[in-house]
Formats: sequence, structure tokens, C-alpha cells
Amino acid sequence: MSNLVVQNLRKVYQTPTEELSVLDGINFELKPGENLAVMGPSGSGKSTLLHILGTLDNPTSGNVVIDGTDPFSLDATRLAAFRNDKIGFVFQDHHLLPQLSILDNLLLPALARGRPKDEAVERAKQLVERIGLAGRIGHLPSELSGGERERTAVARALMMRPSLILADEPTGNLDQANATKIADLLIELQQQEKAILIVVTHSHDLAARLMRQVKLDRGRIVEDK
Amino acid sequence: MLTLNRIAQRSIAFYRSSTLLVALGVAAATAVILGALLVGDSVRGSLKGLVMDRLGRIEWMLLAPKFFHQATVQRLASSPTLGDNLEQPIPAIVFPRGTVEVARGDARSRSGSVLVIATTEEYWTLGGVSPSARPVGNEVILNQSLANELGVKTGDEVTLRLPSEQAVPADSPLGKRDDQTEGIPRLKVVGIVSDQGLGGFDIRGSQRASRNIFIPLETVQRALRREGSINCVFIGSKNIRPTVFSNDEADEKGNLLLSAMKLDLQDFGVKVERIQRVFPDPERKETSEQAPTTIYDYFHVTSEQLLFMPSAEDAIRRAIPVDASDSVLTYLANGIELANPANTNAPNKVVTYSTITGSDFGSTFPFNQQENKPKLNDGECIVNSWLADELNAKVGDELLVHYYLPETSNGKEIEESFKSKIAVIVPITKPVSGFDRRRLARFDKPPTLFNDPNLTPVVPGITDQDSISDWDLPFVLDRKPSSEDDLYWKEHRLTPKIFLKLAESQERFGSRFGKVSSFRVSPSANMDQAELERRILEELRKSTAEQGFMMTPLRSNQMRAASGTTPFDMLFLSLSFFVIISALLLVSLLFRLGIEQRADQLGLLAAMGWSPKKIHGLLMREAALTSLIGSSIGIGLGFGYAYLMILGLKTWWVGAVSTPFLQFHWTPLSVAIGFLAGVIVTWFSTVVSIRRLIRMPATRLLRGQTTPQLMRKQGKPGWLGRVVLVVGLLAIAIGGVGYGLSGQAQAGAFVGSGMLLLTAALLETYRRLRLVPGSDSNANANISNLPGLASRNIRCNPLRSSLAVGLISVAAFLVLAMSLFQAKPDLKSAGGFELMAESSLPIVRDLNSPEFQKQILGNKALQLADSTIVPFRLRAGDDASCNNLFQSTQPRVLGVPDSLATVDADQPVTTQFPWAAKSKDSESPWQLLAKNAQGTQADPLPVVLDQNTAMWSLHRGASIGEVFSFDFSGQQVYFRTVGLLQNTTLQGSLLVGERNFERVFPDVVGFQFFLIRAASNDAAAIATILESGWGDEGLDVVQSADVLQQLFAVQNTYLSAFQALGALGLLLGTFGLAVVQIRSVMERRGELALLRAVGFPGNRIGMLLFTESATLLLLGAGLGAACAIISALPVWLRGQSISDFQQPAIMMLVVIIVGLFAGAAAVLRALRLPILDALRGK
Repeated sequence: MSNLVVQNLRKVYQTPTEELSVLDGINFELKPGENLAVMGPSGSGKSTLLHILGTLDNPTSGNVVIDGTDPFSLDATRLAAFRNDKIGFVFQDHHLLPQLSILDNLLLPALARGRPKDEAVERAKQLVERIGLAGRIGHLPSELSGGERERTAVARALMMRPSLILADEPTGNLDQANATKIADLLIELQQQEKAILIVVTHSHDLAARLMRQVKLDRGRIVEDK
Repeated sequence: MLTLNRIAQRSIAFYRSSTLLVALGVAAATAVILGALLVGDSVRGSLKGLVMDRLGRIEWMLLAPKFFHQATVQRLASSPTLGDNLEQPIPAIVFPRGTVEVARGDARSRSGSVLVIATTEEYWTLGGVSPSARPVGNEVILNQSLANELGVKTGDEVTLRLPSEQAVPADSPLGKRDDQTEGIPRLKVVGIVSDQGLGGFDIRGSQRASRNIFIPLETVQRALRREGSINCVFIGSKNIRPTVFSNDEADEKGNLLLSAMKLDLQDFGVKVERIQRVFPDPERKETSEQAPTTIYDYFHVTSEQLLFMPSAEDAIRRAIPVDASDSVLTYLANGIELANPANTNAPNKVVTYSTITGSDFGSTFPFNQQENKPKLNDGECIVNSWLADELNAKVGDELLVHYYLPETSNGKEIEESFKSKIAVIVPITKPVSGFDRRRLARFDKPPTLFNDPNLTPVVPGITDQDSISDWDLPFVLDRKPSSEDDLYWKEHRLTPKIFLKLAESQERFGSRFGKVSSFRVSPSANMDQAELERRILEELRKSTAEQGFMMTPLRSNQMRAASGTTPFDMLFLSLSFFVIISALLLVSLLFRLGIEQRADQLGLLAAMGWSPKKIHGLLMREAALTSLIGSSIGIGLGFGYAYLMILGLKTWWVGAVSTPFLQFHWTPLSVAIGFLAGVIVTWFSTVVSIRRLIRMPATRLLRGQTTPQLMRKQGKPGWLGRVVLVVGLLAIAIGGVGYGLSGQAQAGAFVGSGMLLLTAALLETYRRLRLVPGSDSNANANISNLPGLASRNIRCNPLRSSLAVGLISVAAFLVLAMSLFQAKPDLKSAGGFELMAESSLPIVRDLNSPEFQKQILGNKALQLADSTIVPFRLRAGDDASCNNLFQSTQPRVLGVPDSLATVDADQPVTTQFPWAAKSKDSESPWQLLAKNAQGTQADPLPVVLDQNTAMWSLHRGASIGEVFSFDFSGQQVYFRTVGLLQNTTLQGSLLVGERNFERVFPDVVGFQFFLIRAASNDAAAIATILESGWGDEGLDVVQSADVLQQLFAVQNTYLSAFQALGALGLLLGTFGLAVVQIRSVMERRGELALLRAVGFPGNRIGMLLFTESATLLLLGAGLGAACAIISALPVWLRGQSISDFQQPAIMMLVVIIVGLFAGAAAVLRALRLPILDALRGK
């Protein structure tokens, strides 16, 4: 059974003058352990697709099924819980809370369900170790380099053992060396956790390392390989 | 462990500069709230301090309307009732309204309504501050206030005038209308005592110092010929801290103390004696062959006041056996003649100055066969044989009886007549020798039942005179007594010549002063004199309060009244309204700005699956912690703010509290409430500020976008446009209604209309800021210049811009528009009466009477020719005007004469008394006051009140038809409001009809309050003439305008305070605007850096930012000012002054200039931003 099914996905924005179609009939399926790169020019609908898959935005029509559940049929509270349980985000701007330590940043998703339990703390510590920052677990984001921050963001995305990891230009702000490290880490962890990974990127190098690449243009998939 | 609280704490610490700014806003709000509460504490604390200071340890006071034996104090002193907590009682004579004069050459300075305290040295042991010298003999001490008013110093001599004792009320024909004062001249001032401590003792609560004179008790007793008598007792407590009694406790303890005084019959003014007439009477040296026979034998119960007051009459009726007693009412007839004389040619014979007795001839009249018990029908009378012989009258003839009405009208006797048919002629025996000063009449034949002069009560100056012509009467005997009349006087004294049924007699001669002159009680085996006296005393003691004896818990009452009429904490909260609102808006803006700065964090949390509720919870914790920090800082600032307010109330706002008496006080409760209120309101304002932010889509938040997307195309009004239209129309409608109103109601309508107009303008501003310029608009042209670009920038955050404009505009509007409510004295508020007067002692005669004026003033009376003086009866009480901060428990009551309705109606409308509300029953509520009522709950007295008095001081009676009551020394009196005056000179009193006043307060005689219309005369000259003419009565005449000025000062001062604090709020708003501007610059640093990077010179960017800031400031100030001006237009069009707007306009100008400077500071800050860092988003 497929873990991610996207069927005939459409997204239209109403502007004062016209209807603007951002996504127009997107279809694909992904199974656990599979990963996908989404590419395309600016304005092609990549980020919108990512936001809809991440349930941060609603589709105008079409279906998204994640682990057998249509998230858009859930109310706001259940949707938030679903997102917390099933989806992990990695952003180009790591979005670490500067006031919290590395460990606390990792624990943030766990806090969504209430006070983090010991196993959550243990999981966070393991992830920190896996990203190679065990010695800096109590540091603030401002005390880390750009690459270290992005690794932290990757670890945070995996904190709740999500079925779906969504990464939006995860290497966009990094130099080649750091970009490679982040790509390695992301794919390695995804494989270990048997999650689905979707990466929106302009980087052909990164895309090439993923199992499947789709190219969007004006809201449609124009290439799928 | 990571928790929401921990994140919140970390965030606050991390974003400490933002937090500090918000916390300072919270501190400002908390400081203002706490400061207002502390002002309330200070007012209450200071009033209570005044009470404790002025009353010392005086816990109880008995101040009776009549004298009683000083021995009662010794009885109380030796009673165990005092217990361990009370000091020995101190005897005193106290007059609340004496007059003190000092002569300087030909000139005299005079102070009326002086509190005269004649007491012993022990008085001073009950207080902290004692005079350096104690007066003895003809020495006195004045308190500082009185000494200052009179300009007296130690060693000077003063004259003290006291009310003289009147056995017969001055308003009855036999009462003395003149010479009502007893002067004690050449009293040497041996000390001036401070107003603090017992020197400032006051029997009523007021923050103004009482003017007191202290004189030895014996000196006053001697001057009043009342040795061994007092009218007041002070009882001190051994505790410095006052006890506040409940009403029941006060009644119970007061009654116990009174019982311990063991007041006797004489103290109540009641006398019981046995009247026995035996013939022959050896004591009169009467001889007869017949054995001694009892003619009449009864106990005679009389009052020292000629008539029994209704309360005493009731008590005595309860004490005496109904079937063995008779009530008697004897009155004076001026002349008796035949109504239809047989010989119409001859002058009609008139018998002068005789007494008429009303009685039902019950068991105390032992009729024998010769004196059958006469039966009377209505309109019939019994005459004695002397009168029948004198008038040659027989049974069936009609008599015409001339008499004075039992109550004078403005001090003038009114003679009436009635006809009565002779039903019976009863015998009367002629004595062999008549009365003289030392001897009773002597008979050689048995006198009859009707030979009883005791039926007429003893009246000093009349019944003890040898001849009618020697009578000491307050009126002229305009009927000349004949020799026969004088002979009758010598032989029979005031033995009645005519007898009527008691009911008829009471109807004709009864009055508010009483309807019974004596009771006759038959002696019996179980009713000897001692038993009768015991029973009467028992009943009188049961009703001590009704008889005027009331032990008052003075300190407790005043402590309770010190809670104040006005909740100053609430008042200052209201006055500080705009400072609080400004602070809250500032908190709201700053907190939101702080959160907006890290909007992406909210987006991230949403993306991680945090529910909106959870995110909200996190932000609320941050807000709560910030509020706690800010409120903690605010406590310190609150003390400073309160101190400043109190300084204001002692100096430039002193008009609000009349006198600079305030001291700083605080209570932990107020601090706790202020702190919590600060936390809660600021927390709430932050909740509101981020409510919409939480609902923003996570995708926008992740991009740091926090403003809603621009909405509609220009030109379509939408729902907001319709709301603007409705609110605008409502504003016009209310303004239209206001045009038909007057005074404060009109001002209220105009300001309300202006406020709605401003609301519409602000909503429209918001609506326009939200609009996206349509494709047809020349958008490109707009940004081709700086104002256009600034305008676009302002639109970027419509809510924030609208809030900034709103804050400034509302403050500006109120600061300006409140000037409409500034009250100014005018003749209408005084009802057209240029002068007002009050006397220390009642004036009984008619001040309008040219004869009386001439008698007192001589030729100066001509200057009063066209003047009108309206006299009011006055029951002294608490000043319930806004000048008194103490809660009024027994307000002053004025008896309004019927003539006021006519005098008021005869004036031009422009000077008639203004009404805030009146009953629809009649044109003038003055007329409604004339309706007779009993003052009971079922039949309340119609009353007129000034609206301010009803609303702010009494807190009752503020709506037409409202029934309310007050306890007047144990007597519960109910009132029903029939009219509410609007801001007049009559503030501070309950105004009831004169007849109703007399019914409810029968013991009040004469007139003590006057409204004076000078007409064409010089008001100042009239004031001088009246004060000199009635100086002995302590007549004090004041200009109505001065009274109004003082009354309006309270309202006007509050308005000024409101405006000043509003301006402070406005200032805070402009600072807030500047801070918002700085934050906004920080937010847009990338954009600004870009502008600089592309070559915009610094001054041009500065100008852009300054234009944005100044646009918001000036738009706000302009909208507020425009709406205020529109509100005031109708007032200006009616020719009213606009000078009141000058001061607030200057305030506004200062605020705008400060605001512009603050905006310029924000610009400088922006220009210092490094370009490259900003471009990198650092």
C-alpha cells in the first residue's frame, strides 16, 4: 500500500483581477523509503505543492492521502496532531528558535503533544549525536555555523519519526561542502527511518542523488523520471 | 525539561529589549491604575485621619434640643454602663450656630454659624492638641479658622451671640419673634488653638475646618440663666482607634448610656402636679359654714413649652389611663362678641383677650347636679356665666370669636374668626378678693368646676402679670381691654370663658407645635402622683430619640461618612482613562510588533504540528510574564503617580476637594488590586493584539508576513463602508437632538455626536488604508513623490496605522471637546437671585415687609425697595453638595415657600431655575412641592434635588419618581423626587414644600436661608445692608456667582484634570507612535537599506520616514480636532465663549510638537542603520 498518494491536485488563487492557477492536476505516489526531488523555475508551484503536502495550505481540489488518511478532512486540532505525527519539515532558513538550545529546538515538536517524555529526550539526544553535534547540545543556534544549524533543522524534522519529510531548498544557503553533507545526512536518515522524502530544490546535484525527479512548470508536472 | 513556560522565559530573556519596551508600557498602565486606587486610599485615609484628628477620642455625643440637668452626667459617671472602654462623661453646652463678633472702632467683623462649645477642662484630655491656656470666667479660645476669619489675635475681645431659650415657639403668635439672641460681650481671647486636634472638633463630617469658639461651661450657664443645666454630653473612648458600630449596635449602646443618665421628667420638660380645690380652703383663708368640699381634684400634666409636642403627647397618652383622664387644649381669643347683637345701633360689646378651652369633659370633671355634664354638638360652645352676663347672651345666641391662627405667616399674626352657638351657660363664682402676685383668689361661696384657672397653662410674662395691659406679648394689643376685662383678670386670671369640644378646639387651635396643653388624670387607689410620674417617665424614656435625646456614636458615624461621597479611585481611574487606554494600546502595539518580528517562529511551530491553541498558550505565557514584570515595575511608578495626583489635588486641582487636606495613604489591598488589574488588562490587551496573528496561515508566517492581504478594489464600500455610513448618520441624528437640549445635556449630546463622527472617520480611515489601489488609479504617479510613497508605506500595515491614528485622534477629541462641559456661573443657575443668605439663628419675621425693614434698617430700608427675598426654613444637616467629600447621612433640608413657584414663574425664562428633569404632572416642580404628604413610605414628601447632589453625593433620588429615605435623628422620612435642578445654587440640600417641612420637622422655627433678588438695586450694597441689619442673627449674605463658582469649581477642576491627563495620554500615544516608528524602521531595514543602496540620499529617506510619522500624527490630531470643532459648532453659533478651548488647544499643540520630535528621533535611528548588514537581513 502506497504511503503518499497525490491525485489530480489543483490550487487556484483568486486575485482582484483574475484566477491564478498555481497547481494544475498533479498526480504521483510514493512509498516508504522512496524519495523525490521537485524542480522547476520560480513560480512553477514547487513551494505551494510542498505546503499542501505538508498540510500548511489547502488544495482547491484533488486528493492527498498520507498513510491512508486524507488530512484535509480533519479539523484544525486533529490536523495539527496529524502534522506533528506524520510530517517533518526542513526549511532553507533553518528556522531554529534562537532563544532555545539545540536540544530544546529538537524537543519542540515533542512539546506539541504535551511535556516531552524521557524517550523523546533520549531520541533528541540520539539525533544530535547522529548529526555530530553531541558536544554542543546545550548551545544556542547563534553559536553554530550555517551548516550546523541546517543539520539541527534536519534532526528536528526527524524527531517525531515522520512518514513524510518535506525539505524546501535545504541546501540553498550553504556552500558546496556543507550542501553535500546535508544531502548525505538527509538521505541517510530518511533511509534509516524508512520515511518518504520530498525535496524542493534548484540544485541538480542534490536532485540527482534522489530516486525520482519531477519537474514542474506553470503548475503541471512536465517531466517525471 | 522543555515546557511552554520555559520557552516563554527563554523568549523573554532573549528578546529582552522588546520585552522591556512592552513591560514599560505595562508599567505605565499599572502605575496609572494603581495610582488612581492610591488616590482613593489617600482621600479615604485623609478623611478618616481628619475624623480621628478632630474628634480625638470622643466616641459618643448627646446633643439635645433642650436643656437637661448636669446631674445626669454624674449619674452616668457612676454607672457601670461605661465599662472599661469609656472615659468619664464630660458635660457641655453646644450650639452649632452661634455668632461671634469683634469690634474695631465703628466697624464690626462677624462670623456666623460658629460652633460654640462651652465645656470643662476635661474636654481637652480627649484629644492630642491642647491649647496653651485654658479659658476661665469671661475668657474664650478660638480655633485658627475662626481667628483667621475674624482677624482676631490673643488678647482681643469678642462678643458671642447665642440663641435665647424660647418656651413658646417663635412661629406661634405667643412666641417671641424678636430678641432671639443672648449676647455675651467682652469675652477675652486667651488663646488660638490649632484646627488640628479637638480645636477643629466638628459635629458634622466635612473636610473644611469648622470655626469653633471654646468657652467655660459656667460662663454660658450663667449668661443663659441655666446654672446646673447642659444640652450636651461628650463621652470619650479609652481607645485611640475608633470603633465603627452597626446601626443596631449604635442604638443598643446609645440607649444603654442614655438609660444610665436617668433623665427625669424635668429633663423632658414635663411637670406633674396635683390640683386640689377644696372649699373652704384654709390656705386661702377662706371661711364658710359648710364643711370643706372638694370642688376638683386631679393630676395636672403640663409641658414647659406650653403645648406638648406630638411625640411627648403620644408618650404621655400611653402612660395615663384612658378612662380616667382628659386632654385639654386652651387657647387665646382676642375678642368675643355676639354675632347678632339685638341692638345694632349701639357699638357691639367685645370681651377682649380671653381663653377658650377644648375638652370632652371626661372623668376628671366631677359634675354635680347644678353642673350637669354639658353636651355639645359641632359649632356649639359653653360659656361661663360671667361672659354671658357681660355680653348679655343667652343659650341659643351665636358668638363671634376672634383669634390668631396658631401659626404665624412669615412672623405675622393672622386673625381669624368663627361663630359658635351657646349651648350651655355654666356658673362661675365671683371671688371676694382676686389674684395678686403672691396670693390666690379667695372665695366666700363655693367655686364651681369652671372656676379653674389651671385649665390655662402657665405662660411667663402673661399669667404672672397684674393687668392685661402688663402682658409681655410679641404682638400689639389692638383691642383695648375694658375695665370689666381687667377685673375678670384680677378675679379669675386666665380661667376660660368659653369651652369647645376638644376636636373642634384642636382643629382650630392645634398646630405642628402641639394639640394638647395639659392632661388631667383622676387620682385613684392605684394611681398616686409617684406612680403617674413613674409611668410617664417610663414612656418618655422609651422614646428618648423622639423627645430629642439621642446618644450619637459620633466617631463611628463620621468614620463611616469618611468613606466619602465619591469613589475617588474610580473617579481617577476615569480621569486617567486615556492614559490607561494609551498605555494599553502601546502595550498592544509593542507586543504585537515583538511577535511579528519572529512571525516565522509561529509558522514553524504550526508546521511542526503545534495546534493554534498551543501556540496561543505559549504566547499568552510570554504575555503574562511580560505583564508580571511590567506590573512589578508599575508598582513603584504607581506610588509616584499617586503622589503627583495628590500634589495636584493639593495645589492646582484643589478646587475638586475644596481644601488642601489630603495626605498620602496606601493599603496593601489597593497595591494588590492595582498590580493584578495591571497584569490582567495588559495581558488582555496583548491577547487581543495577537488574536489575528495566530490565525494567519503558517505559510505566510513562515515568510515573516504578518499583515492580512490587501482586500478590495477602491470604490466599493463593502460592509465596513455601510457601517461608516450608519455611524455617521447616527452622529448627525444625535447632534440634531442635542440642538433641542440645553446645558450639560446638550453638551453631552454634542460630544456624543462628535465621538460617533470620529468613530465613523476612523473606520473610514481603516477602510481606505486596507484598499488596494485599483488599476484605474494613478498608482505610479502616487509613488513618484515622497508623500505618495509614504502613503503606500502607511498602507502596508493598515491596522497598526489605524490604531496609531485612533489613539491620537480620540485623545485629541476628548481633550478639546471636554471644554464644552466647563460650567460657568450664570444668573439662570441661581434662578435669577443675585444673592443668597444664611443666618446662624432663625429670623421669624418677614424680611420682605417694608415695616419690618424700616423697623430694623431705618432709612436704609428704602434701598431694598424693589428687592425680593424668598425665605426658606432650614433643618441643619450635612452639606450634600459636591464641596463636601464626606458621605451625607442627614442632609440639610430646606422648606421651600409656595411663593417661590410664583417668583420663579414671573421671571424671564432665561433666569428661571434650570431643570435637568421634572415630573410631567406640572409645569414647575416647585408647585408639586406644595402637595401635602406625611413623609411615610406610603405617602412620601415631594422633593426637589439638584441633580449633582442626587447623583454624586446622596446617591439616591436621581430619577423622577424615585422614593428614598433618610433617618433624621431616629425619624425615618421618605421622599419622592419630583424635580431635578441642573447645576444650581441649591446644591447640597433636600428641597421640600414648606407645609410638609413644618409637618415633618415641627420643632424648626423661623427662616434661616434666603434667596435675594436685587432687581435694579446694587447687590453688593444690599448684602451689606442686610448683614448689618440682621447681624445679631448672624445673617451672612453672599453673591450667588461666588457660590456657583465654588460649586462649579469641582466639576471644572475634574474636567481640567481629565484634559490634563488626557493630554498626558496623548503624549504617551505620540511616544508610542515614535517607538512603533522605530520598530517599523527596524522591520523595514532591508527596504530602507535598499533605497540607500540605489542612491537615495539620507535626507530623502529621512524625509520619507518623517512624512509617514507626521502623517499619522497629524491625521490623528486633525480628525480629533475636526470632530471636536464640529461638536462645538452649535455652541459657538449660539454665541457662547470659545475661550475655554484655548488651553487644551495649546496642550494639543505642545503634544504635536513633541510627537514630531519623537518622529524625528525615529528617523535619526533609521539613518544610522548600516546598509550592508541591513541588506543581508542581519
